[in-house]
Amino acid sequence: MLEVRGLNVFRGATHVLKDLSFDVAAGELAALVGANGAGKSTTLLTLSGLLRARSGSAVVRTGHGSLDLLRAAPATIVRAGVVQCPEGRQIFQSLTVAENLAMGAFTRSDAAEIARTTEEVHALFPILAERRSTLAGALSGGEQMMLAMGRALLAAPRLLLLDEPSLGLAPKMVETIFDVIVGLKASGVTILLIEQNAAMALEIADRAYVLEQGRIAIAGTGAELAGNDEVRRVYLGIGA
Amino acid sequence: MNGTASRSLASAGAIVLGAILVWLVQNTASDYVVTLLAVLFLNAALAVSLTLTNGLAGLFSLGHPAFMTIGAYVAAILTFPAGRKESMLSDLPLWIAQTELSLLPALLLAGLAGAAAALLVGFPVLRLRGHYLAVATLGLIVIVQNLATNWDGITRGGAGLSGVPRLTGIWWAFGLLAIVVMAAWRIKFSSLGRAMMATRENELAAECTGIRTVRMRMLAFVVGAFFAALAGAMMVHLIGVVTPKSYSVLLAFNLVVMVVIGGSGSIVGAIIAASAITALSESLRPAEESLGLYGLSQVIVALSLILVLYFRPQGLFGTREPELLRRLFEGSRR
Amino acid sequence: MSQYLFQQLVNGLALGSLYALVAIGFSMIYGIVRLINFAHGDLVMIGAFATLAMVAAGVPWPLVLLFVLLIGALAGATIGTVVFKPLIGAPQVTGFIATLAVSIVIQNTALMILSGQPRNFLFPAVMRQRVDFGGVSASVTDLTIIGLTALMIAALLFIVYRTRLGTAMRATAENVMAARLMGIAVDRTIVVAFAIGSALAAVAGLLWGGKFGQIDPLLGFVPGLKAFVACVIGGVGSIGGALLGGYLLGLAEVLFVGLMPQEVSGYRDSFVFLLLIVILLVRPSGLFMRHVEERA
Repeated sequence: MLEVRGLNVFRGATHVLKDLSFDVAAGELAALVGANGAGKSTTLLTLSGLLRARSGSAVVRTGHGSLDLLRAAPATIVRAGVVQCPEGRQIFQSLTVAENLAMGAFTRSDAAEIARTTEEVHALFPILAERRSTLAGALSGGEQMMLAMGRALLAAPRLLLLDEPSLGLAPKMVETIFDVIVGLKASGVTILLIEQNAAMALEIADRAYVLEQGRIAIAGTGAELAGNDEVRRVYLGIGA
Repeated sequence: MNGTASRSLASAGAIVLGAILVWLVQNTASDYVVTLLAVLFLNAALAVSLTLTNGLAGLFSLGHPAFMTIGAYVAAILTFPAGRKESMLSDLPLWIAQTELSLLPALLLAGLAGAAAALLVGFPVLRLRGHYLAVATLGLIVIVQNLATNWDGITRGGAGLSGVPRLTGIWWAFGLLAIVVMAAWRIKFSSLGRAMMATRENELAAECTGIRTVRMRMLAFVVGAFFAALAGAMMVHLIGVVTPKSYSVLLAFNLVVMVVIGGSGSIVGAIIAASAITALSESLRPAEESLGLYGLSQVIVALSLILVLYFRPQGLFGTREPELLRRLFEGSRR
Repeated sequence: MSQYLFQQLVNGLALGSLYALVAIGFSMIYGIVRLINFAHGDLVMIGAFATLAMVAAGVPWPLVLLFVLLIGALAGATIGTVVFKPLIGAPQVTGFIATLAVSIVIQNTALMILSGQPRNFLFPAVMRQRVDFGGVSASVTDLTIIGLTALMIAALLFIVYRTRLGTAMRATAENVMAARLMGIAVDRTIVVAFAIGSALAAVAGLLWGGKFGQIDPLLGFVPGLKAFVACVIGGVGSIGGALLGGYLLGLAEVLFVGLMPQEVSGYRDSFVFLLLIVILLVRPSGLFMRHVEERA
């Protein structure tokens, strides 16, 4: 579904992503793990059109055609079904829960469809229905994460980009979120997941990549990487 | 030859050169050109003093015209012939109305008045930052204009003071420019100047290294105000008239343009930009009058600023001085 | 005595309405680009002169109102696109000088075209009549100002809080990056905010001319600055704050002139600025703001 080839991205003078290439097949959950500063967030920001790439290509193939994300405007990318749930949630604190969800559906115009998606999101996260008139800034960390995901779902994503969903969440909440993620995959959404919490990510990933200094260092299935000695030592803290 | 001696020699040389130029102009050019050059020198002095406040210390102050107004009125009132003063300015305390000072003491008192005002106003206003400081200093202009208009017992209100004795000329203006440039240069290349620039860059870090940032900002503000008041006092004795609206937001803007185009923090840049803009406005004046397009030169100045901000925001020299002059006056030190 | 006070209240409400109209636009723009728009006051001038021109051409008043809104919107959109978009993300002070420069260009261009002579500006005679109620008298002009402003503000609040466009503007004002991720066309949203805010300022110009009877090309400077003060009082970047600040400022200024001895009334503008400085130092977040910017 997503083919990234030869991606080079600079932030200021720093060469962050160096000839990055990887694939995400339709319907699968791919995980990108790596240390801080390896370039994980940069990758997602570039895929969503918020950062300019120096060179390379990132082609998304849906049933309706293909689109090179590197040459498209952010709005076009969202309309093509590539939706990001950014690092730190980035919900609109001064808007209500309902308004946040409505903003997620900004690129869609069919009111009936939007209403249906909203119902689905409410079913998935009942708290969002309960607190629909609350200002988003008043929600707890876990609730904000649910709102962020709900908002992303309202864009009817085909490819969902998740940037550090577990960040700052209590362990119980992390499990809940990851259950939701697995459920989403089961319903047909392709997912690209960035996580520092490598253990949980590798557990649910079909395919996984280790990003080191802007390049893919190790690639394989989730299980393969979880069993890889190097990965275990450096990223899972197991063994010595 | 050691550093200080060579620097003093170079300074003396520059002043002598300048003096020769002034003498030449005074003896060969028309009165109009001589006055114009004097105004140019004063504008340059103002621009350099603004470089000190804005460029070095990073205080975005638009308040110079307010201090000029204060300086102009104080000096004019002091040098006004005693007899006329009593009748024209009825609210003036008798002991002031009956004194008539010569120029130099009047100038000094004017400068001190400006400095005192800055000290008073600086306490609240300098606690602000960025564009809030800018608007607050704009407010200063409005407040001083209000004072000058309403306190007509000592200022003759909106009509202003006219017939002020024409005691200054091109040599006074040149003198002020020389003093301001020397002061600014010495401050800039001293530890005081470095402390100011540190405060500009990162106040918290500067505090941590022991720099009293509050003092730095106040010092820059007060010194700038002192020179602005001096310039205003000289200006009123050059052209003989001052009204509450003489030194306004437009002047503040033009001074900022000079500093930005010259490079905020560059003394030489400020002088060059001030000269260019003064010359430009003056040369466009006949065109404005004949075409009836008052405001044309102002539009050109404003558009130039916008272009510079978009394409070369660091101005002519950024925060540095031209290499040659730096070498000459500072030796091989940085 | 209380009748006098009540009278002042009505006057203050009228003046406050004008300030509120200008302040709201100012606040919308500040909220979305984080820059003080010096040229905002000049839109008041543009509105006033546009009205003058249209009335002289015989355009009926309801159409004049409509056209002034459109002209203001167009002028604002142009300024926003040409001047402000490139400035987003620039240092605060750079933006400030740039907008000051734009204001000077607008003022001096108007001076060149129109000359500095104040022009008379007269509403139809009926507006100068006075209406008496409860012992207080108010001119029809003042009542129109109060009423029309209330209507425009209601319309604006509807747009901002009950439409998708308005929600998108609020979202963009809060977090540009997240807004982009929603697929919101941020550039277009910014232009719309400029257009709406400027339209309101232009209408304020129409009303200003009618109230004060004389207009000149430099008329925008004072309303612009006072709008800024109003925003600071209420909380910069917040529409509710701008509203509150505008009315409060109008009332405060009228009360100052009404209650202080005659000699002091000439200092009304100084009073406004002193108020600004006091508020910036004592309660910098204003009366309405949730987040506090670093300003002191």
